[in-house]
Amino acid sequence: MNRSRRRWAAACGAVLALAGPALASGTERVTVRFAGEVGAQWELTPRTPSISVPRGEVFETQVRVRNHSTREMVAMVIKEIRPQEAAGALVHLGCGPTFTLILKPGETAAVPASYFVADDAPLDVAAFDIAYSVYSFEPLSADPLRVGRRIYAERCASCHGSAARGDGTIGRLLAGGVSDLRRALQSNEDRRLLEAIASGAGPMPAFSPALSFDEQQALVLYLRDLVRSEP
Amino acid sequence: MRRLALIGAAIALGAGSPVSRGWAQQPEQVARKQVGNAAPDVVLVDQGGRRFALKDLRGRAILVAFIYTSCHHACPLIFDSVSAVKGRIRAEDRQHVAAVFVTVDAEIDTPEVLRAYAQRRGADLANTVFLTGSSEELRHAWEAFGVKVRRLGRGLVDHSPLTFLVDARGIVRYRYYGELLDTEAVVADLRNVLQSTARQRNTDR
Repeated sequence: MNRSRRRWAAACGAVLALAGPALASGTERVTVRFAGEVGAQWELTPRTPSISVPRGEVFETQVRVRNHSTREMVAMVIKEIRPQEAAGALVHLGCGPTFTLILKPGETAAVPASYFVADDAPLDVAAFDIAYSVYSFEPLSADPLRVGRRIYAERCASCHGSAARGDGTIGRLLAGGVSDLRRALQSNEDRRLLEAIASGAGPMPAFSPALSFDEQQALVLYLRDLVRSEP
Repeated sequence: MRRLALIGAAIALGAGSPVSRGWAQQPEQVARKQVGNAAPDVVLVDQGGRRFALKDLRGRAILVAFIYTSCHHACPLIFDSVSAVKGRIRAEDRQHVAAVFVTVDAEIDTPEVLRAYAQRRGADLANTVFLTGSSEELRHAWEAFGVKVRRLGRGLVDHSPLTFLVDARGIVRYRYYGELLDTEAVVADLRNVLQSTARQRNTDR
């Protein structure tokens, strides 16, 4: 049992009696390289620059985000995998390609992530690159428009798309698709929109347990602004 | 500037997603594994607030999936996939099949929240169960199935997108990775499991 497998086993306890054997079937090792970036106000550092793993074996890595500024900041981190044409063979054992952190001045947060390289990953791909980058790094603001924008990027854009056209990555895959939110915004008053956000609709979650009423209102405010700027 | 930033976010949301990276094109190759171990002995609370043990469903083939109701990413697709598989089973076999959705969000997903979710998604509670529990009980269930769960914020949870097919004797027969199940493959697996159970029943008589 090598180091990465031990880590997974420690994290998952008895699980790996179930999940372990079927995963560890590859023999060819693959190199996975990690890259971060340094900005004026932040530092994004992978725990290790690279790792060599057998195909099919789950490995855990970690990326650290440090806030160098003197303010409480919201950091949204995204990642990109290359080579892009084989990126599907590097599987992230998780839900969602981005994460958002709220960091106090000088604070560092470590975010773990687990992956495995599929057994049938193209043999000519000997290495993958995972590049983490900061999409946005903004002061934690009480400005409702900024709050609404953050919530939309975090929780809505995956289905509704960046401009609320219903063309988000997940939305396109949902049974029945996702309708153009701009029409709903034009034909409904805020009260109706707030009801839908609070109670959900079909596959759309009910957000009242997760978001405060102020946050729901901020979301509607941002959506109105978005449609005004991108009709 | 705001517009540029948001377009960037959307591209990022798409570009990094397993869904857009070709996962859907090769689910059979990547996502399906045979297992063969006994299903963990999990006891939780159902959407009606009643104690519910996974072994209460012994005698039925069950699809066990892990989702949370605030999820805007993988979970709606997992729910759709499992529903599509159930919809493909012959009417006379449906009494022998159940779907179990275990929450990965102990903080928000109370029985009441699960009930509302079931109603919103049109789940047939005659053959679908939504399970929650205390943080400790749920952690035991996640770990027992090998599902990694990480809370990112209120109503934001990172978790392994895993679904399991458990046969009528309580043996985990297959494990499927990813939010987009290969419906054809899972339906075929489920039919095989149902047929072997029916044969076993006839032998026992």
